This record gives sequence, structure tokens and C-alpha cells, in this order.
Amino acid sequence: MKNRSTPTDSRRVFLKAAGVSIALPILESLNAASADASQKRDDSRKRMVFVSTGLGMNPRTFFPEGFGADFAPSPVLPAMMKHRGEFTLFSHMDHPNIFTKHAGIRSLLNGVLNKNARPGQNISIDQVAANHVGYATRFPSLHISLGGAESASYSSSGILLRQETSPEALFKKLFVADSAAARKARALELKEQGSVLDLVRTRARRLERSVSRTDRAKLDEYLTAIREAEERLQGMRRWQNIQKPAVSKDEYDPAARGHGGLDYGFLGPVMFDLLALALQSDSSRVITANFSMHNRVIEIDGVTKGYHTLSHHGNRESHLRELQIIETFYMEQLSRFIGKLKGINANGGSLLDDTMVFFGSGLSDASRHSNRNLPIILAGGGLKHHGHYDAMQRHNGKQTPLNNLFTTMLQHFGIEIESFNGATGNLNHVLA
Amino acid sequence: MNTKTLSPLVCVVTLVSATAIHANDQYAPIQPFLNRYCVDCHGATKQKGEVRLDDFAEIDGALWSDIYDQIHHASMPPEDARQPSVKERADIAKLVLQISRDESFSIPTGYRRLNRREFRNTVRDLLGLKPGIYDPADRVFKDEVDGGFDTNADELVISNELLLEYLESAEHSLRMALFLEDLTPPSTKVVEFKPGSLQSGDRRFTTNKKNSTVLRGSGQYYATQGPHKVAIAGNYRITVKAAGVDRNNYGKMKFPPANGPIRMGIGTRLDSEGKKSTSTLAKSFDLKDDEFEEHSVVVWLEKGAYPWVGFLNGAGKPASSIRQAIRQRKVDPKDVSPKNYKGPGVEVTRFSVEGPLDPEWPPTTYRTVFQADEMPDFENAEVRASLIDRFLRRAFRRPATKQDVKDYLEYLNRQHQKTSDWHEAFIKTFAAVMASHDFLYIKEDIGQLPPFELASRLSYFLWSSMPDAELFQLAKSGRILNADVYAAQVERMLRDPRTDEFVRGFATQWLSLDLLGTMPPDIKDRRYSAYHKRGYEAAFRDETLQFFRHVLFENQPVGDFLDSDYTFINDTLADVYDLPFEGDSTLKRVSLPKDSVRGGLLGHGSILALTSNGVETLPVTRGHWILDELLGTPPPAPPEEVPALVPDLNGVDTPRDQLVRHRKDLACFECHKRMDPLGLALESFDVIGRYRAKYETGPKIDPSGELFGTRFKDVTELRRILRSREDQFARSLIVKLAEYAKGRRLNRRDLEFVDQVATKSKTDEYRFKSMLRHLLMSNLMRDR
Repeated sequence: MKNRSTPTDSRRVFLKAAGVSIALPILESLNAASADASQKRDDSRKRMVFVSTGLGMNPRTFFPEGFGADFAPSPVLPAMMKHRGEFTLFSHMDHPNIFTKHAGIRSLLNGVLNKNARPGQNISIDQVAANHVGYATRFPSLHISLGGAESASYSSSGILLRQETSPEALFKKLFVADSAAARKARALELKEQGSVLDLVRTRARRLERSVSRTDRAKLDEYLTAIREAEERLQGMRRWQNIQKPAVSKDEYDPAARGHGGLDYGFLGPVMFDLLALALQSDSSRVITANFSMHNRVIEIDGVTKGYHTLSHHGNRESHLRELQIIETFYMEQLSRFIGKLKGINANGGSLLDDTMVFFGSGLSDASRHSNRNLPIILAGGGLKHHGHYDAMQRHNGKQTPLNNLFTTMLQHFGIEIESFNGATGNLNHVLA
Repeated sequence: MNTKTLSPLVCVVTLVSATAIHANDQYAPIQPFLNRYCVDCHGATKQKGEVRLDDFAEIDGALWSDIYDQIHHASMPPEDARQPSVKERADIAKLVLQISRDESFSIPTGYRRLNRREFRNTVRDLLGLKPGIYDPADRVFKDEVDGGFDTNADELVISNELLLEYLESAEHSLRMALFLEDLTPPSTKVVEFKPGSLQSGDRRFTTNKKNSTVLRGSGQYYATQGPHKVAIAGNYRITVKAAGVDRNNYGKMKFPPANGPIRMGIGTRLDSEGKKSTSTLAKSFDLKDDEFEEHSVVVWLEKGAYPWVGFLNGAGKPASSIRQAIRQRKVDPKDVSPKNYKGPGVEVTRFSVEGPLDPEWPPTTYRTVFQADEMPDFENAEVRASLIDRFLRRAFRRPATKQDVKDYLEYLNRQHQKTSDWHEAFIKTFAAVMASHDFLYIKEDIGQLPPFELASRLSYFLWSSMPDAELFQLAKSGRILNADVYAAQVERMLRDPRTDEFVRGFATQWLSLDLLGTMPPDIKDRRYSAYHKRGYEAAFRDETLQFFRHVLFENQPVGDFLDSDYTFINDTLADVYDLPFEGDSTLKRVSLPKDSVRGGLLGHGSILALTSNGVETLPVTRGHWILDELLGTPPPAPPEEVPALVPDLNGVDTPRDQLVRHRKDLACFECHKRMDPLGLALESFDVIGRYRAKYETGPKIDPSGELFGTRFKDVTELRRILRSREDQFARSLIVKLAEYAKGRRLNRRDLEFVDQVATKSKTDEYRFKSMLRHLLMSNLMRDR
């Protein structure tokens, strides 16, 4: 697996290394098309990326010895060390109310017990950010997953968002222009859907006064869905006639294929490169990327057993060794992605300075289904970084709620929010 | 709702709404009373007994009854707390009693969104679409239901994403149904595809000759020249002339199939914009080697669908077989390059499609959508109005009002102005009908259900779909309210094959069969290779569903779910269960030997596999499953701070040893003393449900334990004890059936009816069909 993640020695990797030249949309003309939405935010154009794993990170090989800037790297961290000083690895941070074992994965980005939450109560951090950006970019948010879909992103209406799982589909979505006929048909379709919504709203409104109190709540839910659907259609319509950014033939080999959904050595670099291009071309400013939980054999050298089997290692050396190979691979992908963003110029600095890259999992030690002391890294974003940071709160001896970190991230993103989903404070004093 | 997760923002909102209610409400004095005497312990900061009384609007009927008891009997507030005066207490008690009986304060919503299954079936029935490859719910996202059933109104939220998906699905389905480009009767035609130009998605391992194609890969091959998709839905005959070829081109090296005939499949496929194509296999044929014969099959093809032909028992991925052969030096790499590969294949010399056979005019879908035997005259305004009216009645499952018809006639006319095409305008208008809340929601009034609502309750319970013509007719005349008429309908519906929707919908969720396969064993682990190769998951699921059907339709006692001397197995399950069996993959009922470890649900591979995680058996989960699903007495969730047990697989620490240590913790003792013995008895089965006497690490398994004060030595004896608790099991099953039917959790008032159904069922030995009849006849079904 060694070096397989670097693009130069794999013929299957289709995007060139750092400094790709992609034809960006002319931002001025884009602003003219959507002046109202994007102008006021252009000066603080921050991005957020959330990378997650479905089965935690073995704490014994993830958390480093010693705190502070000069910590000694743990066994899975070496790839990250070239970014020393540009990221913070947190110890003693988690979602205090989440004890749902595997289901904790679904709570990573909101810190809420989804089972009992009503719509609106369990929105995830990426969707708060996506709602803020809205259709100032073509896609309010992008979501990908390797090894099968496994989303933790909940919309404001409580719906779990879908993820792209193949590079072809992601590439098409981001960079392949629809035919003129298809665009015209789509524009018409969006317009007609708008007129349907008009009609059904008028009809639902007539009922409002006559329904009973309990039915009223359901009717309101429906009316809200109509209103939000209209906003969505408007946003999509706005981008209908704006060209997608183009990536030249040299940079994309349409014939490149991996060996399927578990060929992480192929998929990892390709998917993250596409995400970097998405940020660079300002197609989206909010991204989630996940490595799923499953029990199949991930195709990287040295791995012979199912991922879920390995996570239940029972302290067997044979299992721990392979698990470490997988988790090292995750860190290499993260490091490579961060490196890529560093190599792209933006706003007089690098794209990394504008992009908060979060890494984490809703499980910590998957072998015991623990949701305590989650593995968390935050890189870039122009924040102050601390190496290995101990987030144990001195005043009460408790771990810091992850939503405190999320509150800081949202504020740094430019959103006026006091506390995100029950956060008890923030980490501005540490990071800002 | 879990009050603990309420965000501060939501609290503010609900307080405002509660205040608004107080202002013009006869119940206004209640909240101040609760605030003064109760919320210190039952409020935002503390929720003793998980009771919270600071928001009037969130208190449900059962809780109101409890509050009444506490106030009336003066058992709350506790003695050391501030006490209300006697008059205050009496006044409030009276109001609370009133509110507890006030339907509008206790019954949950009567607006229930169609779930994904119901949407699929309803669209099919509304539009007359035959179940084929096309799935009307394909574009609709899966309902996220946490616990309970997918009929639970509270869980079935709607969002902008879903609404747009429903809208797109509705229009797409209408185009599948109203598919004619020109409104003239079609005729039967034969299309001969060029046999030399068949292709699959993967261009490798295919030999295109002048007048034939040899299929050597695993893909689905279809015609690429000329129009290969059908324009009109109907039955089509697909004919393929083919033979098995090139069996022995590599000497000793044999590519699959090594023995037996080469098998060809014919199937159908449908492309969907922006999604993967969907396909089905219609029939498979064993071919003769080098002797060409014609094979044909009649299939239902929807508009846009097309036939495919494939090589079913070939190498699957020839590339991996070839790589393996090269590694083993059995072949020369040059001879097996994708271009030169000449391994076994299906050679096709004719590929044709004939149809539509016996074309109907108008097509079924037109007759269903327009409810007319002839193609309607769209130019006639009266006809248009009546088409709208007829469609609305069926879509809304109630008579259409004047306003309804007016709204949609106006919409129809606006659409017509755009295109001057009535056919197109009707598609657009009907799509708008199907985006309306009247279509998307099942609505029920408070109290006894009126005729149309009762018809929908019945049909969505048993068929997961809209009422059929007969039910509509009886609803319209009101005769459905007549007990005899109603009972006759119940019998008719139970006999109808559509009731299998109930079997699959209810049984799958009750027993969590949908969890099967979410945590499978490692595919590369040799100990479990048969699980994947022989398709245990499908066999397990089929066994349990077949068992459920048998108990229901043969009217067996529901106690059979707890313990039975029979089950349903096929050749695969016979191997898993180590039972003698003569037969193939078809499930057959078999009698179990006396003292078999199988029998009842606890012997089913499905239950044993889904209560494991593919890596380890989970005795605590299994014990919990028995208490919850079989006895209806789930233990409370564990204290949050307790970490899960971690087996150390290096040593010989058995789950029993670990649990014994765990129970020493007093916080854990109470629940674990109930769960553990049950789960440990099931340790006799491994993660895929095979019997085992000892662990792989060596120690013998001790399945003995105690339940309800009776000792059992193994799972067979445990089953007998469970069966002696048939009353408890039957009652819990009635509750679950009622919750599935009503689309909500039951409250205290409902339990009275549950008891009535249970009592009646007991006299019938809890025979399942009789029990379901009692339920269908009870107030549980006939009231909201």
C-alpha cells in the first residue's frame, strides 16, 4: 500500500497533483447572476470539510503521548506530521449525551440523540453552514462516502442527506455540463414544480383554520416543506444557466476505474482530489466525506479481513496489525488532502487557510462500542493550532462537548450563533 | 419525544404556543397549578420518573390520567412539599379528568403520511401499473424509522426533499401509465435484433461475429442497433436461439461451468435517468453444447424497458479466473487476453421481440386512471370535469368536493393553454393531485371512523394500499359500517393475495428482519463462507416469513412462535440446521425431531443472526430480544456510564464468566439477572445460527439458566417455559398489531380494547387468524 496514495506512481489516478489548472468560472459574472446572495459573503469566504470514519479509531494507536506542540506522533499519525503546527488533535472531547454505540456514528455531526429528536432539533453542523451559504455556490453542500453510504448529515427538516459513492457520479455532478436540451427541459421542470407547489399550498392553507390542534402540527410540517422546496427550486433555477467549471481532458481520464467500491487505494485519492477541485472552483463550501462501517475486506495491501471483524480485535495481534494499516491509510488520505489544499492559492494565502478540515468519528474505541473520548482533529481554517490539546475541563473534570468546538467552527465560518445544539460554551479562547 | 434533548430554542417556541392556548382555553388554570406544585421535580431541570409537566402541550392522554390519579388521591405533591388547598386540588382534579377524556388532548395526530411502501402500492393501484421492474418509489428516499413501525405518524415527517421526490415520482409514474405518443390502438409487431451486435456494459469477453455473438462475461447483453426499447407497455415474447460453445479450448484448464450444462438467462431491463438501470431475470434455460435451439419466454415490458440475454453460470468475473489460471501457470497469458479469450460462452444466433401480444384497447392503465372503458374524448369539457372528479375520488380516497374539482379543472386549463395538448395537461394535473396533502396523507377524524376512513384503515392495514373498487363502493353507500358487511369484507381481504403486504410489512418490522445483512460475517472468513455463497440471509428471511404465513393463514396458535415441532426449510437450511431433507431450494414444512434445538422463532437462523453482529454473538442483545419481542417486557436502557463488555479473544474468558462479573455491579444486577440467562441459553448458536456445543477457544457452552423461577437446562427447555407464557406473548402481539394498524403508539384507553381482544382470542387458543379477526372487529380498528 506504501506510496499508493501518492498520485505519481499510479496510472489509475486521473487528476494531476498539486497545482492543477482547472478552468474556474469567472467569479464576477457569477456574482452578477446571484449578486444578492453571494456578494456580502465574499469577503469572508470560509469553507468546512468533515472527514469521518464509521468505526472510530483505536485509541491506543491514535492518541499521542504528551500534550502541546511537540507531542510525539502515535503509530497511525506519521503522515500527518508534515503538517505539524497546522492542526490540533484533541483528547477528552465527545458528545456528552450520546451512548448509542454504533448509532453514535449518526450523531457525530449534531451531538443529538436522533431517535428521539423532532425535525429541526437534530440539524447537523454541516447543514447549518450549508443553509448559511445557500445557493451562493452551485451546491450548498457536497457529501461523499467510501465503502457504502453512511450519512450523519441531517437537514433542518430532519432528513438524512444522501452521499455520492462513485467518482464518476461526483465528477459528472461537479464538472460535466448537461446538454442544452437537458438544461432546457430541467428549467421547465423546475418551473412547473413551482406552480404545483403554488396550488397545493393554496389548498393546504384553506384547511388551516378547520383542523384540530394535533393535526395542525402535521399540516404545518407540510406547509414548511412546501416553502423550503420553493426556496430550493429557486436556488437550483439560479444556477441552471451558469456554466459548470470545466476540467480539461488531460486532467480526467474517463476510462480510469478502480476494482470496485472497496478499492480505497484508488478511490481515496480520486475522491479527495475531486473535493479539492470542488472547493477550488467554489462549487461548494461545505463538504462531508466518510469512510463507512462494513464487514468487507478493504483493498489495501496487508488487509485480509473484514473491517468490522478487525474492529472487534479482541486484543489479537493479527487483527490489531491490520486495523492499524487501515487507520494509517485514513490519516494518509487526510494528510494528502490537507497538503493539496495548501498547494492551492486563495485570497493571498492557501486554500487551507480558508478551509477548516475536521476529522472525527462518532465511535472512539469500536471494539467496545464506546462513544467516549472521540478521535478528533481540526486542521487549517486560519485558526490557532496547538498540536495535541487536552480538552479535559479543569473546572468540572469533564470532557469538553464536541459541540463547543462546532460552535467555534460555525462562528469562525461567519455565522452568528451562540451555541450549537446545546453546546455549553466554545473554544474561541483556544483556537481564535 | 425525549424531553432531555429539547433544545432551548424549541422550549421557547412551545412555551409561546402553550401560552396562546391558555388565553382562550377552558383548561387555562391547569398549567399555573402544575408550575406551582409540580415542575420543581418534573420540569426542565429535573424529570423525576421521566415525567415532565412544564409544557401543557406536550402532555399526552395517558399522562393526564396519571396526573388525575395523583391529584385526586392526594399522593402528589409529596408530603414534604408545598400542598395545594383542598378546593384547589378538587377543582384542578376535575379539569384534569376532563382533559384526560378530551380526545383532542390525548389522541395523536390523525394526519399520517403515506410511507414508502404505501406510496409504491398506492401509485400502482391508482394508475393500474402492474408490478414489474418499474418501482414508483424508486426515487423516494427510505423512511427513517427509529423503533416501532413505518406506519407511525409521528415518525413520518415530510421535508422539502421528500416532497419534491414524491412530485417527481408521481409525474414519472403517470408517464409510465399514460404512455401513448398517439392515441391509436397498437398492433403486434416482431422486431429482429441483429444477433451479431449484442453488447453488455463490459465490452471485454464478448465475441461479435457476423451473424452471432458469443457471450463469455457475466453482463446482461442487449441489442445496440436500432430501437431496442418498447414504446408501449404490454406482454412481449422474447425469443433467443442459442447454444453453449467453446467448452474445451484450454485443454485441462476448465473455466466455469466445469460440469453440467451452460445456462442462459433472459430478462428485462429498464434505464432510469440519473440512476442505475434496474433489471430482473425472467427465466433461465439449460443449453445444449453446440446444438442451437430456440427458447422463448413471455414477459411484461413497461414503456422504455427492453430484453437482455446473459450467461448465468459462467466465470462471473472472467478476469479473476483468468488471473488465477495465469498465476497457476495453467494457461499462456497471450491466449487469455481480453481480445483472445475463448472460454465457455453462450452463442446467440437469433434475438427477437414480438409484441405487444393481445394488445388491450384502451390499455389497462388508461382504463384505471380515467375509470373508463373507452378512450375518453378530451375535447369535451363535461368529460374533462368528470375525469378530474373520478381521479380525485380515488386519489383522495374520499368524495371530491366542488372546491377540489374547481381547483384542478382550473389547473388543467392553465396547463392546456401552454401546450394545447389535453393528454399532456392531464399528466401534469394528476401529478399536482398526487403532490397534494389529500393524497399524501391518510386522514382520520376523532372518534369512530366514518365510512371512507374505515375503508382506508382496512386497506392500508392489510394491503398497505388504497381501498379497491368494492371497498369504495361500500364506503360510498355507508354499508361498510354494518357489522355483517364489514365482517364479510374482512374475510374477503384476508383471502386476497394483497394481504401478503401485511405479512411482509408487519413481520419484517416486528422481527427486525430488515436488520439481517446489515452486519454480516466477514466474506473472506472461511468459517462463514457458506453464509455468503449459499445465500443464508435470503433463506433465513424466507423461512421466518413462511413460518409467519403458515401460523396466520393456517390459523395456528401464536404460541407456535415460541415453540413448535415444525419449521420450514430448504436444502440450504437443512445443512445449517443439520436436519435430514429431501428437496431443493423450495421451502418445505418439516416436522422436527423430539428435543430438536430448533422450533419456534428462537430456532430461526434469521433471529439468531440478527441478534449477533457478524463477529460475535451478543448474549445480552439476545436476552433483551426475548424480553422485548416475545414477552413484551423490555428492560430499561442501561445506565449511560457503563461501557460495553470487551471480550478478550486471546484467553478463555467466556461470555458467561464476563456476565457473572458484570452482574456483581448492583446497578446492572436487576436487569441482567433477567436478560443474561436467556441470552446465554442461546450461546448454543453461533453468529450465523449454527448449533455449537463449545466455543472455538475450547470451553464448553453451558446453556442452563432460570426463567420465572423455573430451571432450564438448555434452549429446548427454555422454549417450553416461554410457551407456558403464551398469554403474555399474545397480548404483546396484539399491541404490536394494533400499533401497526393505527399508525401510533397505544395509549391507556386503547389497552382496555386490547384486553377485550386478548380475552376473546384466548377462547380460540390464540389462533392467529382468529385473533386478527377479533382485532379487526374491535374498537381498536374502528376508532381513530
